[in-house]
Amino acid sequence: MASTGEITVLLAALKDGDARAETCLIGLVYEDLHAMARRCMSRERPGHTLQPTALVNEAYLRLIADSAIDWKGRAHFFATAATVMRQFLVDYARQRAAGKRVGGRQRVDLDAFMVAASPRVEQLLILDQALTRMAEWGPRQARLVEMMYLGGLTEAEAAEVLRVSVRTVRRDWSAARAWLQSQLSKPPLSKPTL
Amino acid sequence: MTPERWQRVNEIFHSACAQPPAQAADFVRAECGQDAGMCSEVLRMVEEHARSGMLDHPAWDGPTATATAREQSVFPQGEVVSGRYRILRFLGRGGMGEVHEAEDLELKEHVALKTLLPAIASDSRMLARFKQEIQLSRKVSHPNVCRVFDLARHPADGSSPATTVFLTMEFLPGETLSGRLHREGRLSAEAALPILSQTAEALDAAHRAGVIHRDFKPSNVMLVPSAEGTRAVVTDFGLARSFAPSGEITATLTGTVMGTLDYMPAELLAGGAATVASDVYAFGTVAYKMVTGKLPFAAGARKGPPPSPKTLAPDLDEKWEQAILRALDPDPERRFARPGHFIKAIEGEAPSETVTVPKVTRRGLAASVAVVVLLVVGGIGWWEWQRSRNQPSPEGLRWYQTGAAALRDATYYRAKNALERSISTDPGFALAHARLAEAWNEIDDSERAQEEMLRALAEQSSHPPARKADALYVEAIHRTLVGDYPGAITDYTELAGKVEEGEVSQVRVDLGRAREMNNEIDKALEEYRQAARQDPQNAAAHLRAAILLGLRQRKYDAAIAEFDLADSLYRDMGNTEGQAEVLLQRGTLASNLRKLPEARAAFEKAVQLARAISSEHQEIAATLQLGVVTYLEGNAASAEQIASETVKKARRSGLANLAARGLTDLGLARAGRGDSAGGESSFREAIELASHFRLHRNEARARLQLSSFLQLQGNAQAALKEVEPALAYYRQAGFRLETSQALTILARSHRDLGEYGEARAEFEQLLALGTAANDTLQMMAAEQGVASVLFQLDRWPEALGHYEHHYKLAKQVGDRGSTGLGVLNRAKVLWRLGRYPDAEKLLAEAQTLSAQPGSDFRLPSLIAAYAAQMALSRNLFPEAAALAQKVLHMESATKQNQAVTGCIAGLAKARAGSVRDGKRLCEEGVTIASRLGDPAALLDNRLVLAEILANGGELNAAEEQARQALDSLQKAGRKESVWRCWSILARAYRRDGDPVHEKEAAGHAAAGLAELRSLWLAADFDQYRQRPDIRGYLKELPVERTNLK
Repeated sequence: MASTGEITVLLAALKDGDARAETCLIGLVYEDLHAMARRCMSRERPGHTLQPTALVNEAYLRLIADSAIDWKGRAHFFATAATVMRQFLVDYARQRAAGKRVGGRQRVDLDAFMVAASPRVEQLLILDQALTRMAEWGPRQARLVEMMYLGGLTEAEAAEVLRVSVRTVRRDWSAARAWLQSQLSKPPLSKPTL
Repeated sequence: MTPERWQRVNEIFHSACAQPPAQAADFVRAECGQDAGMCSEVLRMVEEHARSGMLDHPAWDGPTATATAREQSVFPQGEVVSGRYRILRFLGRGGMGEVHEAEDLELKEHVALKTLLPAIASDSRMLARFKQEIQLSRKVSHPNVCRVFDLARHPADGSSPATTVFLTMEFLPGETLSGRLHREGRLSAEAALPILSQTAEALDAAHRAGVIHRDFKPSNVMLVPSAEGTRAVVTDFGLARSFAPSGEITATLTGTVMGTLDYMPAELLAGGAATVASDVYAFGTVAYKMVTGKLPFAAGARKGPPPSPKTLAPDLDEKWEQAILRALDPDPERRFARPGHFIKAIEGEAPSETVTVPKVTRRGLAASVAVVVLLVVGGIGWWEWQRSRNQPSPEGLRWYQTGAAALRDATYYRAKNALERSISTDPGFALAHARLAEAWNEIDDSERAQEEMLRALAEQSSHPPARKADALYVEAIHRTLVGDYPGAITDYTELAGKVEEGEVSQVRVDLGRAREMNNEIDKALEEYRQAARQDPQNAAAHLRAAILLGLRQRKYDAAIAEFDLADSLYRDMGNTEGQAEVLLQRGTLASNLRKLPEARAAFEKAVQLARAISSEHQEIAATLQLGVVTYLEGNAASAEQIASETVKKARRSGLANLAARGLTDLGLARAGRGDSAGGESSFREAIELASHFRLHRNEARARLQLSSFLQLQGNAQAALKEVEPALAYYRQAGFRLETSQALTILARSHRDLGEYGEARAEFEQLLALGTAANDTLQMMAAEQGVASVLFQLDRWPEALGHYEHHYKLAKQVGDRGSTGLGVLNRAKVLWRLGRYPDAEKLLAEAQTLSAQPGSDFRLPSLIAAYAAQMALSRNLFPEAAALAQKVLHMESATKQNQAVTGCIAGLAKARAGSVRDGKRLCEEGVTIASRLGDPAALLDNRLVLAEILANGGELNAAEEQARQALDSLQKAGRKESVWRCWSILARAYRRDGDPVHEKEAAGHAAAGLAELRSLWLAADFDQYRQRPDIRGYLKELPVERTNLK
């Protein structure tokens, strides 16, 4: 497990605008988050309201809650965790879509862990692809969607992480949202264009 | 896209959003100029901007996540939400969200701010309905009714996915009545009266404005202290209905969404509409609770009259007692006509139906006269309006009748169109809304169906229809939609006795349809027959009878006769759509019975007719079926092309449900002919399509068929994944037949996975369901299931009994596929019990059956496989090897069959002398069985492999296989295999010269055999012991060896 000290230092560096710190932070928390996600998903029964955000919360509490991290540091942590969770979930969804058994012996149904309004696995994959493409020309918007949609960050938190104003966050969000939604609402059989 | 281009797209998009909506498109076109690609891109974004979608709700935002992330509350103290309200205090959490006290910074007053659950707020249709309710409730202006100001969102511009929708309303400092009752237990009559009288006035005022409260209870009454005593204010008017998220009409009734049901009358719980009378009941319950401290009925128990309030509050005045019991009368008609009459009864005034002059208040006489005038004028206006709404116009009625007839004719699109016209003429026509809901439901758009049904209920409760029968119709339809078919049957039966003579025949058809859905096929048929007798011109009765006779009872000739009658009647009426429907159904029957020329003729003619009258959906449906016929005729490529073109066309025309249906049918045809990959891909395509368009019923159907197919293919794990959601849907929707089909697949899959306890329980559940419903097909499936579980647990004699029962039922209904399998199943048990001649006879019989049309495609490969196993059991090794090899090369053999037979071939070869060859074959069998995840086959195969290895002198390998198998065999309680396994081990140790282990294994074998003997009847056991192969195993047992010497 990553040590609290290291994480605290990295979060402080992130707050100061050191972009490399994020890569390090991902490296530090990746294993922990993955292990927790796998463990929870294989043990919990479907219907239980376990959710990725709750997982990240748990990870946050376990890893750094004790240390003196303010809400800004917390926002950075959640933003980082959102990236990790996106990878985890997308890998999961992909394997599932390919019909492989996931998560060892137990049969796990990701859908069962999502609340009613959560996206379907297929939609998640489409969204992931669309986000990846968007990152090529609009990296800030793509990152914003990842943080707010997949990571549950608030506008203020996202603004802090991206170092922009809340107004910009809102503008970015509404454009990114409209574009992504236009991709998502396409019939599933045709490939997204552009 | 490049960053520059994206930048430009963003700019145009933002500017376009700032334009008035009507000009946005032109603005975008002007800005994009020649760049058509960018233009369409931005236009779609602008369109999406106005629409709600998946991203409007954080992916995983559940209560846990939000609560932790935002310190337990949506709005932190001090936050200014929506730019106008400063949060002062968190007040509490209710069924719909949180309540905060806030300061309106514009008007400088305190308001209550109620957030909506994300599930409501994120559903645009729900939200629209919610708004409608607010508008309605704002019509009620009364000092005892909580005022609702506005619906707002935070952030105000909806720019964040974490948008919270909330209501602002009058802030009422005080406590709820429920809080006070909790604190004080019960109230004296003197303390209760002013509260009840104020709330009665509030309810009366609402009822006059056409608003029903629907959820009146102590927690919806606020008690606000004031200089003139306590002011009682009723909150949450008419909001109850809006709480049912789409798809959950029943959920509101079972309380998962709304909370308490204690204050609802029985008629509402039974699915009836909320009325003034149901509010009176709730009012009576609140009065009961106030003066006694208890509820009249314990949760769930709602039988007979409630216990007298006086038994709980002995000092209660007799007038109170009488008034409360009258308000709680189970018969809505006998309750007070309005809550105010309750108060009058207590105060000793005779209740009257007329508008009475209000008491003169301290505002003075002049004011009160003005009020009276207003009330009278308002009253007249209201009655006038109601009358005009209650009587549908002749045109509305005519369209309605066309629509209702089309529903009975099973021409649901025609019904939909007609009913929509009826409603556009007469928006308040509740019955037309209900029928339209029914049509949507048949077209598999459950959301629209539910929305329409809610509209019907709303119209009906605010404007009770002039004709009493109409209310009963609405109720029957509502019950049908929520899957309460017995309730619908009761309603239609009652209706049949109430409507005019000319209408009875039509009601009978409705009754028949309800019975069909309740899986009462014989009774449904009887209703259709009666309908046809009462009105010989009733084409729908003939059509529906024909469908049942053909598809459910397999009486082809009788079905054709009815189809002919229906056809000629439709022709006489000039109803071409009806004729096309007859052809479609006729073709479907012929296609199911593999009467391909007839099917083709019917579908081709249906296409022609449909084209002639531009009935696109029928044309598409018939073309899709033609594709299936083409496939069955053996022309796969051409069928493929027809299917894909028609599916495309259907999607273009917004007829995705037909496309999904057609794909599933094609999948069935392909799978039925042994084209596994093709079948599966058709099913999956259907599922994808149905799920994309939210066609729940079609999705469930495709999943059901796919799961059945996967289970047959030996892929139980995958089958489970498909069948579970299908079963959940069918259970919830109340489709009995499909529920039992899904349950069958579930049980079979569990059995295949070696989860015998679950499987057996599910099969027995099925058997009970089938017996109760006298449903032979279901009983058949269940008998076979129970038998197969017993068989796999080595309880062969018991299994034989169930297999025999299954066979008898299959013969009785004339199901050729099942009859053939039934014969084989018995053969499979009989040879195992050593009854070779009996088994041989049955195999020969199965051979004959397999040549007949309609027999199961697996029959030939299974016959060969069982013959091979039997030959092996008789030590006829070359014969067994040849038969088994044959199976391995048969295309119709399932993988499961091939896995097991591979090992049989291996053992036969090894015993015949080719040990290496045999071992290789058997090892392959083990690998395949393991890959299939079929535990039963895997165990059998390990056992065979152990035997080959033991015979070949490979002790270690044999021991490993046997020990691996033993564990599971013992756990599963497979006694027959257990003792044989020990015997094989004993032989291996003997060959290896290990007398200690040999003796131990032989002892276990003998003990196992003794257990088996106690499990079976003596006759069965003795016959079994005579099997040549079993005698071989017996040789290893110490006792037997002495005997044999």
